[in-house]
Amino acid sequence: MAYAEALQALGDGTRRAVLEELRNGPQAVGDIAARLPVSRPAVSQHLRVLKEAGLVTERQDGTRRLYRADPDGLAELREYLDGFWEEALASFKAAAEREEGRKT
Amino acid sequence: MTVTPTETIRKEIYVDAAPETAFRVFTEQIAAWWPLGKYGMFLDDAESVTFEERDGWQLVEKAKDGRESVWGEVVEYEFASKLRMTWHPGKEAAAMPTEVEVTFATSGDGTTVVLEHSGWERAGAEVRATRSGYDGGWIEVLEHYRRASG
Repeated sequence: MAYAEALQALGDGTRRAVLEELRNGPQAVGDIAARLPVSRPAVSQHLRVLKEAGLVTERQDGTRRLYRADPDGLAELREYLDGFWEEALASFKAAAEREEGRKT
Repeated sequence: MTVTPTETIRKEIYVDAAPETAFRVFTEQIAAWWPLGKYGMFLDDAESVTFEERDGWQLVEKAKDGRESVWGEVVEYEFASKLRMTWHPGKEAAAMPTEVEVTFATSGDGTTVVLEHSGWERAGAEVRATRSGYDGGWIEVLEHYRRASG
């Protein structure tokens, strides 16, 4: 899974809300639709995109299909966000130390 | 523990310089170290990024052709100690309500700098709160960064 797909999938506010709902544990489409201002078909569609992006997995539980957030997909996205600040701060550190060296 | 993209991002780094120096370089000299060609709205067309006093202090990126992008507004400023600002590159503050806080603390002969980027959860929360669609923006910005960094 590339984080590009995850970022793209999360570019939609409703999809982010759907994913947030799944932080509380595995849920069926109807459970999610009941708590968001979104129709069931729309929730299904969002879940499909999240699944393709590797952010959500599904499993059959009797007659219900349960969706859960996929920690691996999320971890990859986090890594990207972390990397961004990591790099900016490393560059900052070097600049601050150069400046201190000039002073003393 | 489940990792989520909405947790606060926390980075800690030791800088071999006094807090005063570190703070000045972070604020006054941000253009000297921010990787603008890689992380910014204008990338190859970028000219500078500076804190400017307008309606309060803002972090502003400028392109060679004069375009501007306000990345955020300073909401708390304590020289050599703390900088807190809203963070919404390329977006109105309401569309990307995240916040960056940077603290500077003396540590031995140098400074420990801690950066926290928080507020990611608000975008999702806002959908629930307003009971209407929400056209969020922060991910677009990150996508922009990502494309640039290949």
